[in-house]
Amino acid sequence: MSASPSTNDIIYTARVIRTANPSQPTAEAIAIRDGRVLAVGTLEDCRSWGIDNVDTRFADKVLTPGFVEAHGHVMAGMYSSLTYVGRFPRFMPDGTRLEGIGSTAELIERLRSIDKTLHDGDALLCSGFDPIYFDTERLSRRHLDAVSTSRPVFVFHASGHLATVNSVVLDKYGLDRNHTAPGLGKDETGEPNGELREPAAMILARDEFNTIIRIVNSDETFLAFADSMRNAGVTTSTDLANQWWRTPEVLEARRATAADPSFPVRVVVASQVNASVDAMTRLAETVDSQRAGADDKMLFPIVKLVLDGSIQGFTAMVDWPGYFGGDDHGQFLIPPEQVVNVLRPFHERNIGIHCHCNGNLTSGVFIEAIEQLLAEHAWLDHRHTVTHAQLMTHAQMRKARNLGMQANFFVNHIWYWGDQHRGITVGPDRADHINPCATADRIGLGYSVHTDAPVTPPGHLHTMWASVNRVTPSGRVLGDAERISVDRAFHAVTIDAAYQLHLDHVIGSLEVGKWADIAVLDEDPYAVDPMAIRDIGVWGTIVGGVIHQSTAG
Amino acid sequence: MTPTPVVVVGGYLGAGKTTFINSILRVTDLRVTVLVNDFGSINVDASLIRNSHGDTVELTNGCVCCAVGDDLAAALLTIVDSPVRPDLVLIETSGVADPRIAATYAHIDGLRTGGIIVIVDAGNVGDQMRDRLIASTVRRQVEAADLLLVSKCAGTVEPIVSELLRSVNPSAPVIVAEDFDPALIGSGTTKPMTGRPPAHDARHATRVENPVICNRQDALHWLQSLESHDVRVKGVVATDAGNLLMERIGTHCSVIVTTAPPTNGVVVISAGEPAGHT
Repeated sequence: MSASPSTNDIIYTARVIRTANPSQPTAEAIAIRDGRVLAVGTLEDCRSWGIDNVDTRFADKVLTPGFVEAHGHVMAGMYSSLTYVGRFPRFMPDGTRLEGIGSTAELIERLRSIDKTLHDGDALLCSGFDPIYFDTERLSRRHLDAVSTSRPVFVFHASGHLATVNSVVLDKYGLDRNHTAPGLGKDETGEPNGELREPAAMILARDEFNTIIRIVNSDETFLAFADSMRNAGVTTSTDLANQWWRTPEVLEARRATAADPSFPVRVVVASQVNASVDAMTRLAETVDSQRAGADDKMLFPIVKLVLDGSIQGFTAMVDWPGYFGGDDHGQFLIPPEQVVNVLRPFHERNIGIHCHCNGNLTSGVFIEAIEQLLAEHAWLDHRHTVTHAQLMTHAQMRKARNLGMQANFFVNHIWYWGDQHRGITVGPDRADHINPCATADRIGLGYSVHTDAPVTPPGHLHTMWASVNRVTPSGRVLGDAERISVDRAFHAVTIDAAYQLHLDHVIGSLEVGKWADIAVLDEDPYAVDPMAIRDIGVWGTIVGGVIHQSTAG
Repeated sequence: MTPTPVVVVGGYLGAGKTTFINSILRVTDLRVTVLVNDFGSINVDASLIRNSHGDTVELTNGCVCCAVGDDLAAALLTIVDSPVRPDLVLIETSGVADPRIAATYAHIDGLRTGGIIVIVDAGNVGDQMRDRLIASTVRRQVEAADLLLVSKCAGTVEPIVSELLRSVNPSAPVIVAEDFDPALIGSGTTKPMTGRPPAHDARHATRVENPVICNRQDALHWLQSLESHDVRVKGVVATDAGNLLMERIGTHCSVIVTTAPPTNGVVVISAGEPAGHT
C-alpha cells in the first residue's frame, strides 16, 4: 500500500525537467515526499498521489538532477580566505566575481589593493597565480617588494610547485645568499630571487606556509566549499584525499555541520591512500566502519590514490616520446610494484578506488594493478576509476573496459591549458586526443568529467561546455573527433558520476525513490547554443527536498 | 641549539635501504630518529624493539622509528619543536622518491643536511636504468647521491656497474654496501671522532690531518679538496670565526659554528678506491 500523503509533500513545476533517466528523459513536474522523489511526470501524474501543494516558483526554470562532482576538493572553499590571483575570472564562494590576472603588473595591482585592507603585521597570502599564460618578466621578490616592505607577501602558484615571496619573508627566515637550500631560487648574482620551489622549500617560510595549510583545513573553508558547490548547482561533491577525516573530532564536527539541513551539499569523503600497507590496512578498516555508520550527507564509498603529478607541471609520468617541450620531471609517487599492495586492503573490503593518473604510464600501472586484484578477489562491481585519465591510450581504455573500470576525464584542461598542451607540454597530436570522451564512448568505457576544484572552478556547466565544444582560449578546437553530444555530457556529470561513486541508486537522476537533489537552472543546456552552456545561470539547488538559493549574482 | 643533522637514505624498492638503516641502529650510540617515508611496513630487527604502537616503534637503545607516510614536513617540524631533539635524523625515502626533495626539508630552521646516501642493487640497477617505467626515477636517485652504496654484489662492484653509476654521477664515491661501516654514520655524526680507528677498521683506512683553517670558506674548500674515496670526515677546528665543526659524508661537505672544543685534528676515513682508479 502507498504511503499516506503528508502536509510536507510538494510538487514543483518547471519549464522542463531533464531527468537523466533514459526511460523518461523529460517531465513537467516532480513530486517530493520526505526528501525523496515520489513521482516525475505530468502535473496530473504527480497530483494523483493526492498532493495539492503545487509550488510554481520554478515554472520558468529548468530542473535537472543536482550535478555530481566525482573529483573535487573541500579546498575549493579556500578562496574565501586566500586572495585569488588566477588567470581566469572566477566566482568566489560568496558569489562575487573576481577578474583574472593576466600579467605581473595586474598581480601587483591586485595585491596592493588587498594590502590596504589588512591590519599591520598580517601576512598577504594569495593563491592560483599561473605565469604559464604570459611572457612577462618572471615574478620575483622585487615585484612583491613593490606591494609591501613591511608585511610578508606569499604568492602560491597554481601549479602547487612554486611560491614567490617578498624580501620581508626572506629576511624573516634568514634566507640570504649563503643559504644552501636547493629549492631557494637565486638570481644571476647569487641573491635569493624570492622563489621557493616545491613544498620542501616553501616550508622555509614556515609561518606563512602553515597559515595556508591552516586555511585549507579550516571550518570556514569547509563552509565556503559547500557554498561554492551550491552556487554551481552541485548537490554532491567528493573531497578527494583531504586529510581532516583523520582527526575523529574534526570528522564528527563536520558530520554534524553537514547533517544540518542548511548545509547545501552531500560530501563524499575519499581518504588518501598514502602510507605503508599496515597503515592502509588500518585505514581500510576505518573507512569500512565510517561507511557502515554514514548518514546521507556524508558518505565514504571510495578512497583515492595519487600516482603522479600534473602535465602542465611536467611531473606526470608520460610514455614515449615524452614531453614536447620543457624538462621531464615525471615522478611516480609510489613504486609501481607497491601499488597493488597498498590497494589490496581496500579492494578486499569492496571500497572503491579512484586513482589520480595524469600520464599514460601511471594509468597503465593502475589498470594492471586492478587486473591483479580482481584475479585475487572477485569483486565484480568495483567500478574502480582512473581519475584525470588525460592521456589514457585507446589500448588502456579497452583493457579498463574489460576489467569493469571507469574513467573520470579532466576535460576542463582543454579550456584552461589546451593551448599550452598543444604548444608546450605534449604537442599537437596528443593534445588533440587529450581527455578522449568520444573514444571512451566508442570503446564502451564509462566515464564522468570533472573540475578538480579548486584547480579549476567548481561547476559542471563548464565541464559540459568543454566536453561538447573542446575550444581553447585561442579559439582552436582541440580534437574535433573527441567532441561529445550535450546529452552525453549531461549524463557524464549526473548519473555517470554517481555510478562511479557507487551512489547511482540514490543520486544522479530524477527517479522515484532517489533523494530529491535538483539543480535549478535559468536555461536548458539542450536548447541553448552549445557555446553558451557555460553561461547558463544557476538559481540554486534542492538537496533532499531543501531549497538552497545561490548567492551568485 | 646546534642544528640536528639529517641524513637521507634513498634508493629504489628492494635496494637495501632498510637493511642499511637496521645496521646503523644496531651499532649506534646516538639517539637516532628514523622517519620512514615509504609505502612498505616498518621493518626493524625484532631484537631491537622495546615497544610499538601505531606508526611508531621505540627501540631498546633509545632510537625511534616512525612511518610518516607522505607528510615528512610535519614529522620534521615535530622534531624541531620537541624539547629533546634526537642526535641524528635518518630519512628512509620511498622507493621512487628523489632523495633531494627529502634533503631539502632538512633546511628547516633547527636542522641541517647531513648528506644523501643512495643504495643500488648491483644485479638490478642496470635493468632499472633502462626500464620503461622507472628509468628516470632511478637515474635521478643516482644523480642525487653524495655516497653510493652497492648492495648484493658479493664484495666487488663490477666495472660495468661502477661505470654505469659514474656515467650518471661522476663525483660520488661508489662503495660495496657490506664493506661500509654503519658506525661511520650512526656514531660519528655528532660525537667527535677521535684519532682512534672505528671498530671495523679492516675495511677502512683512517688518518688524522691538521689543516690550516682560518674561516668557514677555508674549511669548505679543504673538505671539498679531499679525494673522492675519503667518505667520512669529521673534526672541530679553532678559527678566527670561532670553532668550526667540519664534516663530510661522501661528497656532502658541511661546516657549522659550534660551541664544542677543538678536536685533536680532523679524522679522515677512506673506503674503496678513489674515482678513476677502477
